[in-house]
Amino acid sequence: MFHSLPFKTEPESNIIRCFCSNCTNNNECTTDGSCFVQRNDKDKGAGFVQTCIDKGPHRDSICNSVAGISPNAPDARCCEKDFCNGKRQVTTTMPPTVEPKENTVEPTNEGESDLKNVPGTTKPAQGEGKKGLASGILALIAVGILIVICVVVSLGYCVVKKIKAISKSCNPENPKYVNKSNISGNGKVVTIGDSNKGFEEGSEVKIAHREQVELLVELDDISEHLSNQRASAVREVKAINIGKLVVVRGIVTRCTEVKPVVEVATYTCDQCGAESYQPISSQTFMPLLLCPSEECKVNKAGGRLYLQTRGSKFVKFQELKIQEHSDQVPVGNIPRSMTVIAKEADFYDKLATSLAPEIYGHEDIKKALLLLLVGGVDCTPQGMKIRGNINILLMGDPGVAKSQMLAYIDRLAPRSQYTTGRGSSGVGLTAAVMKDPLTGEMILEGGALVLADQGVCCIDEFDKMMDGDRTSIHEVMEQQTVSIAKAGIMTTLNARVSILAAANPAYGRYNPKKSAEQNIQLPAALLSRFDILWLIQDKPDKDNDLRLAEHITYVHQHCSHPPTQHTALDMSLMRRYIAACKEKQPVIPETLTDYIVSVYVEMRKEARTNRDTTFTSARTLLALLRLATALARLRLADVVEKEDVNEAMRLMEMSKASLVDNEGATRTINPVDAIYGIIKEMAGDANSVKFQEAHQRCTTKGFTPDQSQKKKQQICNC
Amino acid sequence: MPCIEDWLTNPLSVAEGIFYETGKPDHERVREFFSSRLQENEALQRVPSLNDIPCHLLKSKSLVRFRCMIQDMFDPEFFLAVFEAMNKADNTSHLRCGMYQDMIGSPDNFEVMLESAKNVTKERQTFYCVPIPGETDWAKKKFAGKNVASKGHGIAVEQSSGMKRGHDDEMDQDENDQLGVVSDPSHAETKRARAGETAGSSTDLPSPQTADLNFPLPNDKGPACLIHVYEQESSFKVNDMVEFIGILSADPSLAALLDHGKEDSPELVGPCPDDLITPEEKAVHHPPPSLVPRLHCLTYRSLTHSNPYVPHGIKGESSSQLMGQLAGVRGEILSLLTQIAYGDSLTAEYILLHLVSSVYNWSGIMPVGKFALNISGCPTSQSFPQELYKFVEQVVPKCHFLSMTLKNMNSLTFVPQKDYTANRLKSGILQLSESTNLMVDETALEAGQLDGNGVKNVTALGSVISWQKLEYDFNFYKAEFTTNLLVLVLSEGKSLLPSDCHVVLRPQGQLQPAQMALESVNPDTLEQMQTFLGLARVAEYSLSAEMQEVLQNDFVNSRQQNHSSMSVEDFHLLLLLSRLMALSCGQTSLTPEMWNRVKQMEAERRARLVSNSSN
Repeated sequence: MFHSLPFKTEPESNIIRCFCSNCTNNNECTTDGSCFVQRNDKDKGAGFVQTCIDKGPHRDSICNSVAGISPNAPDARCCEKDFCNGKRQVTTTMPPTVEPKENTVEPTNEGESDLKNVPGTTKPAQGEGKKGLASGILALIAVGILIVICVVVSLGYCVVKKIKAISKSCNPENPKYVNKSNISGNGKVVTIGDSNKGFEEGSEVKIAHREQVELLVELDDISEHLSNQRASAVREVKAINIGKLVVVRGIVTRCTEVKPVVEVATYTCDQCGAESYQPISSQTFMPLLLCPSEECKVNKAGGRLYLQTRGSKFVKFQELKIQEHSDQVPVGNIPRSMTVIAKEADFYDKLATSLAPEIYGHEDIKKALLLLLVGGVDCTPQGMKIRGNINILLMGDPGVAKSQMLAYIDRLAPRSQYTTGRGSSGVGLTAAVMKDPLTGEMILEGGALVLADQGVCCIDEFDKMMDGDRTSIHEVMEQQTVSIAKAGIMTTLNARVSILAAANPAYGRYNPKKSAEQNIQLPAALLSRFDILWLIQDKPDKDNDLRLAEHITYVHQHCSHPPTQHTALDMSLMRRYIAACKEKQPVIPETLTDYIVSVYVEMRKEARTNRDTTFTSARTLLALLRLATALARLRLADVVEKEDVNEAMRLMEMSKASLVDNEGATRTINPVDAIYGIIKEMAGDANSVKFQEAHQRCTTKGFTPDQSQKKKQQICNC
Repeated sequence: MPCIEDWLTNPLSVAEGIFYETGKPDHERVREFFSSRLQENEALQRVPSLNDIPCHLLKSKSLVRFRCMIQDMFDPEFFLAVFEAMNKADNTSHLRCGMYQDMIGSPDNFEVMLESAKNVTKERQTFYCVPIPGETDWAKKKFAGKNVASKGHGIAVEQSSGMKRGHDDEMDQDENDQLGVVSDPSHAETKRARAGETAGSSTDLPSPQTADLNFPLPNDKGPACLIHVYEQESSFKVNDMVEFIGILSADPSLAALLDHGKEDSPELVGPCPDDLITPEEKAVHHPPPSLVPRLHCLTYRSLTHSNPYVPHGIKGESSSQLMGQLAGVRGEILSLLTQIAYGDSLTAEYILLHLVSSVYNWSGIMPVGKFALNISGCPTSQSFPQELYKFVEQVVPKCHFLSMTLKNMNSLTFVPQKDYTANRLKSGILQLSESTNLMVDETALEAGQLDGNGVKNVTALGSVISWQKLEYDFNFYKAEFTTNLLVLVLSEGKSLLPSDCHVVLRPQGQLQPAQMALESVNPDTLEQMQTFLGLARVAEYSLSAEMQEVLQNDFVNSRQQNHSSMSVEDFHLLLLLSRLMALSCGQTSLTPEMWNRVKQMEAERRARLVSNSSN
């Protein structure tokens, strides 16, 4: 009844066809030797290779070597049948061997969603829904809103399945292969699924449907379209909408964890060590196999490429399944559902770069300023008040855009005061007692700090301020109050304010020949009150200067900042998002306390050995906690995680590193890299290093046990 | 012009021809072509039916039909309606049609150009369809007997007749055999046929018996089918009865693809990009085609009833004519029912009225015409409910016997529930198509505790009886679906379930086994009975203005005489009964005689209720 399947017909010769992961010819190749497949379990996806190996000594050596596989070796095999080396493709989706930073959040504001939230909906009792909460990629889920308004840049696509099928009666032999690809409309991005449905041996290419529309949430467009698009029902999204922007409303019935997806895959060659890069725009990709470097080509070394998870660039994405809301379902019909892919580049970075986009570079400073805007969590254990506001002092050479930074923050912050050191007296900052000209009574008039209560007070030219005036803000910076005892008025005013100060170094420019303390010339009592003290040096550096010049000329030419990797978020959206962040009151879990304590102890130790830098006190620990909670807020999370503490640490280190004269000396190296270096050094030519030895060495070099432990795990995994 | 064989055996070529003619994927044209072809005399009968012929005996890509109920509606699918194929030999390309197939075949030397701008993506709807739940043997047989194609194939058309319509999952099989229910002469032969079927299909599907086809009723059998519908705007609803005519796609290669996904092949690295598709969902949405064939619908007929003797789409005029010819059958049915009901003619009369009832209108949220009957006083010692059911299943096209044992109530699922893991609607016993007779045996209910599920089930059953509404469970919310089920509750005392009418059984003689009663009826009369009940349900009825006045006056008078003797509900019931009475007598309007007869019946019924409660 059925025609015999084509693959059952024996090939005439010994030529066989194999899947080939980097061949252009429909990902297949022919050979008189063997098909080869290799998979590395540990990396999943990395080191996946399919290829043909022609007959000869080369084949014999490879196939013999993989025949007796040792437990540590990757799973590899040779075979001699048509397409016996597995399936056509691999997916780019990888298990999170590289932990994604948990800073990704959707800027869609709760308030915005609430507007369209239909009252009287119940919470989903699904476990998967909760996962979404934990990972919190989407603010919408994170705040437990069920009716999701997804502004979607649709990349609906229909996916093509490769299906084995009988051939038509007229041509029973020689079926043809066609590679699957994406059908994208005018969409910008292409998402693909289903590739792993794969091929069967001897299959004929058929095209089938896909049961879902997959859409890509493009966060940039949310603000533009949320306001004026009518949310349509899931069932209104038709084939015609492919490649169009749609707004869909529905209930999230299922969602995956936040997963990384490769954006740029990095490979290293096992022969020449050259690195190759492969930009990936779809959800599936074909890993490169053979090294394209000149060296390998010339030598015909046949160097194989291995995917490097550490060197590859990942972005986070999450898949959601949304179902129509009950009021959108026609009578007698079953609600429909659809899959939405939410993808977002690092949101934390994006928010940070959106701060003063006209100003070139200074990413870390911008991050710190972002944290200042968000603020840490206030804590009042038994009346004792521990401030949550973050104070930052930017100290730098003239002309490094400190003032612009301050001005931008002043504009962005919902409540702020801007003063300059020269132009304000101590009384002007705190409060003045005056005689009312009308009644002659004594009245109290709040100064800048009081007026900026629950906001930001930007003080420019901090160094030019009179010492007497400057001391008047000590109280504000720690106690967050202004106490007045003047002319019969004794009172305490609230001044819960974050202070952002900018100052020039003592000699106008930073003098590298002098110590940092000499350069700063500010009392320790004041300095310790700043959570972060940032020194911006304007050092001549050819490349950097060129880029800076380009940036500045562009700004002047076009009256806007040049296009960046992330399109800058709109100011009002930033404000809304920051307001949403401030709603959160994240706590530090008990499990983290030990870690934080050890980090602090380490910092103190460092401070002892390194006298030249700033003062490390208990306030530093508080600052660390504040930064960590602010980072957690930025994720809209309720609990501080280790990553937050690490990032807070990194920011503090970076701020200090900027103080250290870095001519010649390297900046603080990422401890992970440093440990890697140590171990590599120890290993030398040998292939193995005793774990204990490595551990000991790292500890003596001053790394925390935790850091070295982590790195070693990573190295072991490789 | 394609000849008849062409469109029957190779409908795809016809569709393709239309595509080349119009240059676009025009479903309307295709549907018109096939609809007009099927209009022709007996043409539909020539199309083999999946209901009668096992799928493996049918040729893939041929025209088939399937009489079924829509059990679930899956999410729409996108497919390439038009795609460009490139001839690799001479680098020329042309457009081809991708409609009505799961997989697009490309001949040798051709490459499908997936990126081509000329490709057209369209969507189609997918319905998961099951054979009409509770369809009785005789109805199946009759439908199969009509089928010309199956006879031509020389296939045992009584494919499903060997299967006993289980009275109840609880009921003892042995008892059934002792009673000799299975007296089908073709029984042995059918068994053989079925054995062959299993053997034939076992090659590519491991355990068709164990696979969960999501039938609403546990003992239903037959093929389930995934129907692809190409209509842009279709008015299909869940639980609709439809006969789909389309292209069968049971290509085993499809299974190969699906199997491929299942096996844990080593090359599959990382989590799959569509993590959201769970294995359960895959199993449900892509079952092996040998188990659940696909059908690409070209045209369809919505069925208002599933009675093979009643012509499709019959209207009031012609039905009353036919009814006139069968007027005598009413007496026959009544006498049989009386025999079974211990000689109680009043109860028999009510049962008859119940059998012809149906919800014919919805006024607001109230279903009009529902007549849920409760017969109390059923002796527990005897198998009256079973006997009655045996009779009923011989005369109605679809019915189900529900034994209200504690175990059943606690363990069975009555209400369909959305399973989000598998992304399907898990069927429940109450997911039945229109006008299915549901007989509930409350005498089987023993003392004990109903658990949560049991209480839910009883509530659901109550809601169906009182409102003809069932709240499907979608986890996050409930969605109401209207039903049209004829519920007959047989109980010892007054039922714990609500009812529209409560009749007390007064045994006057001995229980007559249904088998004996039926044996006395010749096949022709039985056929007439089946036709009669089918027609009565679809027949038209009107109330003349004069009669309306009579009724109104009657109501006012009786209210004046005794205020409590007639409430509004009573009047409703009287009107309903008189309608059913008129219909069952083959009349299209009410006459005063009938009105009086109904009133008399009601009086007697009430008298019994009173005497029963005073006892």
